[in-house]
Amino acid sequence: MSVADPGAARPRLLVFAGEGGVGKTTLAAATALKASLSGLRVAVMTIDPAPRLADALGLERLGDEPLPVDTGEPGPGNTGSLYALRLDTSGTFDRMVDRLAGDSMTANSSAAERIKANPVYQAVAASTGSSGPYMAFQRLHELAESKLWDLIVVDTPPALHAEELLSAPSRLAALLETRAVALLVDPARAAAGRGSRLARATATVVLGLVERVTGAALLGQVSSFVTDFARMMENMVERSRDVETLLATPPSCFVLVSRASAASANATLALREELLDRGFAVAPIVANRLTPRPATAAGVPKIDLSADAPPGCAQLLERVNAELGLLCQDEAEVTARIEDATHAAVLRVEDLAVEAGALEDLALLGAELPDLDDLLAAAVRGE
Amino acid sequence: MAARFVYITGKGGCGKTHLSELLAEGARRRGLPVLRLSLDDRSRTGDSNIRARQGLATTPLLLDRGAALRDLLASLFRLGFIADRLLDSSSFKAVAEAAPGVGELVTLTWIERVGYRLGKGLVVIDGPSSGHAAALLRSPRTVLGLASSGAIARAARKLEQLLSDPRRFRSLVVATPEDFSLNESRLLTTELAELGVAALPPVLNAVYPLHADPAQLAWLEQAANDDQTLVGARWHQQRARRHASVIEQLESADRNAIVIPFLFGGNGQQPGNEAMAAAERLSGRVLGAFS
Repeated sequence: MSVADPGAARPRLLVFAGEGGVGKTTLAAATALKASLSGLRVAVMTIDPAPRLADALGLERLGDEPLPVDTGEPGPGNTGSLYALRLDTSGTFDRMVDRLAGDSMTANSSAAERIKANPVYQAVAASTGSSGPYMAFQRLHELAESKLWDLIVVDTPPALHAEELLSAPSRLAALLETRAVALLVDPARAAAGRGSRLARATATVVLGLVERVTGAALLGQVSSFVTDFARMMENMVERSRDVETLLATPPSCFVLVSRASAASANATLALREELLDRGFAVAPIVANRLTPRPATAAGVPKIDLSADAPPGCAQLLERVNAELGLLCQDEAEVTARIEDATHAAVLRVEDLAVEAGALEDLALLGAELPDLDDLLAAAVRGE
Repeated sequence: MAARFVYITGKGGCGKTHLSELLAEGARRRGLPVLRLSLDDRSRTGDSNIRARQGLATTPLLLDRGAALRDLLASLFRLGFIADRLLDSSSFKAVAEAAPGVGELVTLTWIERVGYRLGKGLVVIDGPSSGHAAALLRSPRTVLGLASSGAIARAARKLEQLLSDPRRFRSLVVATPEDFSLNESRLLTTELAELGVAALPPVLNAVYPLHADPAQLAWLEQAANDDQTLVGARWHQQRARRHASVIEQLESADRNAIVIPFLFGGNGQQPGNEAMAAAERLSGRVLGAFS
């Protein structure tokens, strides 16, 4: 049974997305911790190669296998647990190759070894930039299929655009449909099989030109990689589509995190539109790292300095608060604009100092966020 | 004389784009021809109003991957129509996508050609964030590892020469004090250095000004007053003090570190004087380091 089948017991999915530096990882960790303390079995996965999630949870390092996070003594009857993992692009790729080569009637384990030994495969598998999106879907499929989790929280990497991630299944399908794959698998037959002499001649010329650019060795390796790989791609597309369906079906949603700066808000709103266009659900935008002082229209309030204040404190307070006033005014403008654009109140999170590995700090941060069910219920869905 | 290139990188959110604007503006004010390149093909157009009010209204040159690929092919074949023929072919596109390092090589070639057309001047590259900064610069090596002959190998060799020439190409690693780790910054600089890319002095961006003297700071922290004015001032100055200790830490590792202040009123209430001062200081330090 496919993980995307309606009625199948399935985990809830939360995907944290947003620009770099907005605090996605910390919020993802705080949300996962909070849910585990409320009794859910939670896996939090980061796609970011940087050690931010490990740091946030106080783990030495994260790997491909979910590692338990010590959340302290569970309360009575609390069956919740928290595990964390980091997407290992080439590890996931290797596993997929092993499994699919084993499943397939046309390939066998020596095919798997041949693929893994191909330098082109190794370079593709190791490149998080080009393989990351595909492998994120594969790993999510494995996690969803395992039935070990009530909630899967995904922390997306800063440099990876959500669009790249989300269009992965379609791009893969498109690649599969190009004649190029057939051409590389068997140039002569592909060219001869369909159509005219002109087409055949064109194919030969094109391959010749490609060879001139790349050198013969590289073309040979690419061709052999694509030949072996083409057989697996159908299954890869199918699994990616499954996950895409999971992401677009309740109870799943994207949580977009923004700083209260104009640039960050614009980027976040654009991302939100894109997700809604693709039919995904989006929770109210989190305005993170807000200056912990309410903006006052009246400007700097006067206060009585106690007698023990050292000289110059009145001027100091005035100066500092003038700067803070500018900051708060900017933030208020930006959050108002987000609320106008989304017709929803932003989720306000103050700039709390979260010590690396301090779960009590994460718990404090989690307290500022809505409960999981409320968050999912507040999400709006694109058509 | 050939163009000089500054490749700006750092963690997400460290202010790479803002730094690239400051540097470009500062260099322009010194009378240098400047081009600012954005490798992010979806530009953040919405904040141009704010930038205009800060006096930083420059539009970056955006990477157009399709055009850049055509450029590369045209230079490889020296004949535009062959490039066009290839680009029409879906098989070629599939190969270009499947072959690792080609996309990055296309980007680097574009950067190099833009600089070549600019001639004497400064090319400011608003680069990818730390995780991907090295991958882009490594692409000539990746390609050379897979293909040692052919036109693409020659193009890759030429790019390697550019990257490893400290008179022409330098990296600029940016961090904010909020998100600073000396180790991470060093790792990134080392990673780039291993690819032959020489570093400019490290930049610490968005540093809060410490207005309080030690006595005032002690009073702020102890004052048993939860008035919002005090609470806000305490938060602000504690942050400034943390930032000061980060500066110390960075400067003890590298005396040449460049410190850029946090610009309050970024949404435009303030005239751009502070931004201009930062632009001039930054460009002075960067251009000085090149020569």
